Amino acid sequence: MIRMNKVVYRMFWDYEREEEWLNQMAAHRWALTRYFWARYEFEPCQSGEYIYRIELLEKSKKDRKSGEYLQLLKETGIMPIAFYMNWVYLRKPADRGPFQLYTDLDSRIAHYRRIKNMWYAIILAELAAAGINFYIGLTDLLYETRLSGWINFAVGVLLLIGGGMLFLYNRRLERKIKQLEDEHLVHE
Amino acid sequence: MSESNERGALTEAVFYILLSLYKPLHGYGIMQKVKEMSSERVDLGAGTLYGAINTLLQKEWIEPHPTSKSSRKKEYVITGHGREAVRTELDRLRELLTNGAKIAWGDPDE
Repeated sequence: MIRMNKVVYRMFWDYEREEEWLNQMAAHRWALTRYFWARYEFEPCQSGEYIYRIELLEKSKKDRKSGEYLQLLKETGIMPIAFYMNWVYLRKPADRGPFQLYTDLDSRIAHYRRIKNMWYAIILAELAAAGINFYIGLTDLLYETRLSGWINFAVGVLLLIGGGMLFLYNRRLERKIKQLEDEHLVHE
Repeated sequence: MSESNERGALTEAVFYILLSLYKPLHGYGIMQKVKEMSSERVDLGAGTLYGAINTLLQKEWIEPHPTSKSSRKKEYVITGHGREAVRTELDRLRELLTNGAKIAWGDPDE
């Protein structure tokens, strides 16, 4: 029987859980081939044929540095499958050996920090947007154009909830970074 | 970077990358060489290697090695500063080894 491609919609805050999920999918013979805005497209593969990793690049994929890095990845058998903002979804055929991007504490800490800083920038943007929505909502309600005012309030609340969840995730990242830094006092 | 940091221990990744570049190599070649030298023990991740290469270029411990234009792979080679850093590290390692061996392995003459 020929298996068709499969599309799954899902959202993750935590890229490591996302990575785990993609590897489970690959174990169940579904290999990610495309990603865009919470839409994952899979094609059939052998069970565990690929290992997936997700990484936040320092620069956008168009930057020369990212190009150099992606070239190095390709030489080691690692292919970029999808790009999303500065995130890149990578895979390596499992028969080409283990696949870890960061193999010492320094570089793992640096990667976590990069992710943490990116999320904090987004949290700030969400807070600012929530503030604007509350302000517009409030002035609308004062002039009695009721519905749009409530919509602005609702959007503001959603933004606050989103920002709050990201904040909690970032606190977890900070704890992980702290753990690695403590570990770093003893060895690399 | 401050003076005190310059005197600190090299990371294992940096030490092996420097050793691998006494002859010019490109990125993937460094990974293979390091793996070979360490009998497969040190398997550098691409992210770790790329970060280290950039830091070492900045410190001028390694430099790009001019290659034929047909090759798209960038090669690197160790500089005089880099060799100096390796020698300093070797002195430090020798001191560690001497003291460690004396105490942990137990030297009957002590």
